[in-house]
Amino acid sequence: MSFDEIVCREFAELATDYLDGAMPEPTLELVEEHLAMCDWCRDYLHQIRTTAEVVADAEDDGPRFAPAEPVMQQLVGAFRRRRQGGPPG
Amino acid sequence: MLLDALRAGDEDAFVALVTRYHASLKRVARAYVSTDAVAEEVVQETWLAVVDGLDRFEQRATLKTWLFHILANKAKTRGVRERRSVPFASLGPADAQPSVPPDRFQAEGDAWPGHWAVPPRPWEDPERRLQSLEARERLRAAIGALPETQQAVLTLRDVEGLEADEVCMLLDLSAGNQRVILHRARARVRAEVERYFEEELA
Amino acid sequence: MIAYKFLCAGGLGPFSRYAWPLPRAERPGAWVIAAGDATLCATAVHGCRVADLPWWLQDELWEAEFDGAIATGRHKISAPRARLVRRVEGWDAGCEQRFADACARRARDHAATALERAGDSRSATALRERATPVDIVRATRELDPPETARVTVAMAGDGATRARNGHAIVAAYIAAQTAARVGGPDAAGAERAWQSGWLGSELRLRS
Repeated sequence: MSFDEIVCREFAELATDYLDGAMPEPTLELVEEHLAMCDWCRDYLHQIRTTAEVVADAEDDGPRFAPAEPVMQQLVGAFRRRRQGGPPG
Repeated sequence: MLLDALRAGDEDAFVALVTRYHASLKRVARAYVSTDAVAEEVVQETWLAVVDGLDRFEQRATLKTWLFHILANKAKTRGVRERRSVPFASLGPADAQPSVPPDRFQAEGDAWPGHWAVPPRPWEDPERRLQSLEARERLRAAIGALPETQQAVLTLRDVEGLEADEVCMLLDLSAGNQRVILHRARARVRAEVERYFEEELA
Repeated sequence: MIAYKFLCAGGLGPFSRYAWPLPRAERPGAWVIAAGDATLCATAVHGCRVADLPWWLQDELWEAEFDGAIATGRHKISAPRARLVRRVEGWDAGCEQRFADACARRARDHAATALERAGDSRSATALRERATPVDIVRATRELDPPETARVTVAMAGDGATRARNGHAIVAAYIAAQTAARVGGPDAAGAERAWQSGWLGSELRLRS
């Protein structure tokens, strides 16, 4: 570029920095100037943010990811023994 | 409160705790050790240490952070024993790849070098559409296909909601590297979501 | 100081989506204070001087009062607090379209200069004759420019396409970029100054 600006390919690497508020002010200025006029980068930013939000729900499927039953039994057994034994000293 | 229930010996509370966190703990462990099976062992050792340490837990941190601290320490120790290199000491080759393939952007000699050549298509109602069983499977598969270090950071930041500085402390990771790894992970998963939505259109 | 602020339809901040308190019955809107609250903006409220306007075009233009220690950025001002004073009614879809068309013609002219420098005066003249964005787009597609003018002509075509769609902020950016292709960074600065002049004069803004 013939003068200071951030283009799309650069912004694509900076989206998480932007969302984290972890951008030094000079870079932030350039990013905001670019986002003001680039729908596509605003969409990309929105998609990164959405992705970050939905992964929590995708993983939240409960019992599917618990340890296998025999293992769970062992852990519960250890828990039971420890609580019945009471705290040390 | 959960901690009170656990200290009172409530087994249902303990089962709920294990069910809730087992998978995430395993993802983080996997960044340090050589196989899934070893990661599973590390997580089981972690649960035993949690059982043992419940009374000593001082609540200076949240229960969640405490769980991941124990896990991280055990995983690190196990990783050292396996003589693996420390996973977060520096960025790996997977973290050096651009987040978006270069051919999505215009090249030198085009009218707008560095601008989108194939821009992202806006997503319609993504939160609702990504709730479907199929979408969740695709997302989980996408996360599972990430390099282990990216899975670990994505799990801690976006799945478990830990703050950036907590994650840096847990993983001995610089703030900058943490953001790079997180961004690579998110970008890959975004790309998978994009493919999924494109398939729906076809 | 008095300066300006672009907001999205409904008085929303373009980045924050913050709903700015609007003026009512001749009274300014309530003061908005930057409180280190990430939902608004990191540490300050931002605004435009007239010279900054072309970078920030949005649906609504507001005159606003900025108070406290004012800092100047590259193309903006920052202040600890601000309030909206009055809507600049002249900035509407019609005005935005006129401005976009003007920028498209400026980009066309820079592309024509590039053609002349490349030795193709005939194409340059033909291009300059096209007045509307539609005609400019057509012309850029019909031309077979010399290599040294190819990119600039393509850029002008893009500028006219964006102007057709009413995307003034992009048409303005493209006009500055074509100016830079022909005259370097100083020419881009001059182009932006021309753009602010157009807006300031058309909307009768205080500089």
